[in-house]
Amino acid sequence: MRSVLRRGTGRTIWARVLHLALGAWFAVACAMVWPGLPDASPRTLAGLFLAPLPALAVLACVPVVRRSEGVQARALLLPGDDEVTVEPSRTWSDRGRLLLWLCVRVELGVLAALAVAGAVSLLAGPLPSWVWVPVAAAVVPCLVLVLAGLGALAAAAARRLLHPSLAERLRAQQVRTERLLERTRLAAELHDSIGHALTVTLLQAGAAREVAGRDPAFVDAALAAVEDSARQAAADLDRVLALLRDGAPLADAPTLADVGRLARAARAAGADVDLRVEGPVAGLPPLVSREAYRIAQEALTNALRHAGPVPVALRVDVHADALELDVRNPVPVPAPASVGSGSGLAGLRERAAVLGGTASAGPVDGDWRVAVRLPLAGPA
Amino acid sequence: MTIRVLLVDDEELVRGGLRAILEARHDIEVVGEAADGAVVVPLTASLRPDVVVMDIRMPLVDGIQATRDLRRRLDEPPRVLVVTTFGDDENVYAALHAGADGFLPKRARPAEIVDAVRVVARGDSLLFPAAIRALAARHVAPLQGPAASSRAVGGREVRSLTAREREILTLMARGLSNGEIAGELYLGLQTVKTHVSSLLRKLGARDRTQAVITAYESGLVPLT
Repeated sequence: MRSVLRRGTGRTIWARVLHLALGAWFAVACAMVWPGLPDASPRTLAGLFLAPLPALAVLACVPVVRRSEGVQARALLLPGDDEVTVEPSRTWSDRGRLLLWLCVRVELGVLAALAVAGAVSLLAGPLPSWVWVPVAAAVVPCLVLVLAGLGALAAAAARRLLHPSLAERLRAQQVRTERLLERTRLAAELHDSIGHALTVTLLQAGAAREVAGRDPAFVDAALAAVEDSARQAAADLDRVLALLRDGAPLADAPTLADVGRLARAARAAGADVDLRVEGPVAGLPPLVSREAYRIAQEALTNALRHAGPVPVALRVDVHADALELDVRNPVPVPAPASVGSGSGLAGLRERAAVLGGTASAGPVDGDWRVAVRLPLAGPA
Repeated sequence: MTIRVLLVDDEELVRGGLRAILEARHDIEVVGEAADGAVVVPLTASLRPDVVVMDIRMPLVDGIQATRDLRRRLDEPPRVLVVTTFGDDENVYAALHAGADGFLPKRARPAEIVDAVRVVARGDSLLFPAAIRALAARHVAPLQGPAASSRAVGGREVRSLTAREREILTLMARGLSNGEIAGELYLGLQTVKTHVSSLLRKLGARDRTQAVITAYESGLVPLT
């Protein structure tokens, strides 16, 4: 009992008693109706207390009642506790638990009313005045303890019966993750667009000042680059601000439809990329398309890392039942010792295997060839 | 003697700016440019630069991985100076761990860029000691307190240092060069060099930057 008192501070106890008052009003109503009944026996009194069940069942079926009960429980029973849901009912299991909770709530209220009535009738009864003070001194703290206990019971029941369902918890987690991802993407977007443009501006302006008077042509070109970058940054700022205002989703992970961008990056790095795409790349399932992009990226990267800037042939073939990737590049002479480190190839095989596909890599006709086949009907 | 530099950045205008700034000095020669970390190892093997000035975020292979590749695949890797943009603390620290010798914000002034390349090429003092301490503080602080003893990065190696070596490591962390340390401790330059190479060996560190990071992470040199 002391732990109950310690856990619930005075304010919590009275907030909980207030919460119990709903059931208590029902008890008062019963007490007023019962003496007027034709058959005022204890049996009818018990029946009277069961009478609200159908009404509670109807109430429990209304989705928004769960939210209302949740809000009340959060405010009065468990202040600051977000373990209690404030979502409307979605499943029959939600409604079942809500009905149980409504019954518990009413009956605990009835018990609270009985306790108060008992204490009042005892103290208002025919007691000799010399006993009254010690009896009151014993009864009042007992009543407070009983009410606190009932409040704690109501709180415990709310925690058990009004907690979010697994589906609700998953959904909440998903929302949190999406928000976090969105912020990360926005940061990356800012970094890549405006941060990038500012960097170019700074470096070109600094360089122009360094060579001023000695290389007028460079200064001209640098100033043009500064102007272009600043203009680009202004446009990017517009775009990012629009994204922030509208909350429009940013671009997702690249898919095979973006393979051209990949080829451009590899060309900029010095590889002579010959890209050929056959078949409807845009119609690929998103998961396959994203993974295929990563596989192509890994194959191109490995070619550059091990062979340096060499010609690379990248073929993408979309058939009806499968997607085929084929990457070839000449093996440098002498072949680098670390080609067989294997971690890159293992990664390729793993990615392909997850989608039920296959990947192989090895020397073919003086070339290094990476071949990947991903089924389009899903993993067998 | 000229310092041979390889520039690695996916943005041509950044490379052009850096090239103009560095080549305006007579002691620096830009021997090559690359647009991605993927080609750094083959290019370094053929061009033999003293310093690779490397961007961190690149499309195929980032500067952290490229730095690691250089250390792993070349017998005599060049020194690496990573250049960073904004909000890149995590990456800078990862790059220093991967073996970069120093870092430089892209918003640095031309004279600072040139200085950074020279300091990293000489390799006898730490670039931006205060910034490295701040970075280390941000990364080590959450792990200090009760958990610090269980973590103790390089704890055993650090304990094997002599008192003199610890003293020198503390001065290295403050950014002093070998010559300055010799003056501070009234030692000969050669003696300091011997101590430095001995403590690098004991810490398993290839260079001063790594040794200083280990010193901070192990608590040998206080972060405050």
